[in-house]
Amino acid sequence: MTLLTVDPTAPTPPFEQLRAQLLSQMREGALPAGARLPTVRQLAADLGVAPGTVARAYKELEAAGAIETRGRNGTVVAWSPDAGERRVQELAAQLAAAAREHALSPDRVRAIVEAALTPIE
Amino acid sequence: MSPLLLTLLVLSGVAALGLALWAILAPGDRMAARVSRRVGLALPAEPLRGKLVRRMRRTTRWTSGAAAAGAVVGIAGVATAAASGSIGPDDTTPIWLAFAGLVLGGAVGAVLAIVTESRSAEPGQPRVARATPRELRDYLDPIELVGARVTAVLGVATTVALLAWPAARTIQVATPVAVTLLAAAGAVALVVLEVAGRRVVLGRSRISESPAELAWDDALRSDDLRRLVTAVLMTSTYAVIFGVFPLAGALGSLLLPDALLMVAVNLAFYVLMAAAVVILVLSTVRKPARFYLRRLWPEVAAQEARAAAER
Repeated sequence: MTLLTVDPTAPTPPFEQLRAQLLSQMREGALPAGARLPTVRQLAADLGVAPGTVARAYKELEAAGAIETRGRNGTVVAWSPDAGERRVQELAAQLAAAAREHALSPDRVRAIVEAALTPIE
Repeated sequence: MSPLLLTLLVLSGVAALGLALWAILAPGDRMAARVSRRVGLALPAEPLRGKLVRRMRRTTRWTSGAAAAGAVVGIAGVATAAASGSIGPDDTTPIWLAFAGLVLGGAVGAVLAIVTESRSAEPGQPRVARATPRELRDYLDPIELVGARVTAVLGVATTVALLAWPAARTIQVATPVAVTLLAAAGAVALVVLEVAGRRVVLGRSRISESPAELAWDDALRSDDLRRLVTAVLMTSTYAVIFGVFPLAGALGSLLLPDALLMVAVNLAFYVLMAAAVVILVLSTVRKPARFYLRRLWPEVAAQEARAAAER
């Protein structure tokens, strides 16, 4: 059952509640890749929230590569088990380009990445 | 005015009055229990129960009131035509005009009930929504949706053929005017279904505070859409039946000897009757009123099927 719940009294902001639930349903396979999501206006009206709330949740999911906006076809799920890895690869390519542009040595870039990864480990 | 025409007008008037009374009285709990059995969802406890009963009563008022108004418009049209002498003394066109007005009025009323509804969310209450868009195919059994489209097209095609082929008008089951009116009403009802059904019945948002409320919202949306489908089917099917017989008769008289003609006409009649029986059996077995439940709430549908088997 692909239901979304928004609790206006919860400490988590409504956009974050939506983002987290959508992502969790994608990971569980309830919303498979290619599945269409409701329009921003429709979902906002159904949940009685401002369109900006839904738009922000969708925007963050789009930035994370979990959903895609396909013009007239609306918003569709793009998440797949390897979506995270693909996203990191894209960002790594951007990082490499920025490093070349600023003439940073590969060792220095590795050090920066390692430093950035430290809190994750 | 002939006695037949007068009787038909009186009958239509009584039907319109009955519907208007029904719209005013619109019973609550009994009606809700009937809808509950039809859609396969148990009636919830208060306060949701009261909310649903109010919504059903509101829809009934609009559909019955608009159907009565449609019938009255039809009757007024007949009275005007009769006064100008365009309707013969034994012409049965009036009853079909009143019937088309009644059916079309009911469909328009269902849409108006939704358009005029005010929506508000209880502040501080959680809200539940589906993570997928609402589609017509989730609420209507394909047999009904495709059936409505095909029947409306057949109704128009039959009427055009009937009007274009004078030989076909020598055998009459209903007047070409009645067939045209029914086919036109079917086509209008199809447009109402395709446009207002998607934009209003599906597009209009209603805030649900629990999954039970959302399931009931789906049930009532499906019920509204099925009302629009019924309007298409009822008007177009009559247009097809009344149009096909003269066409088949005219075609048969061209191609078949007289002895075989009656056999062919009888055969066509039995085929049509058999088709009607098959459709009736199919609609009983498939329970189209619960299609939305199987499609959108499969767990609830399975639970309901188990409970029915135990009963």
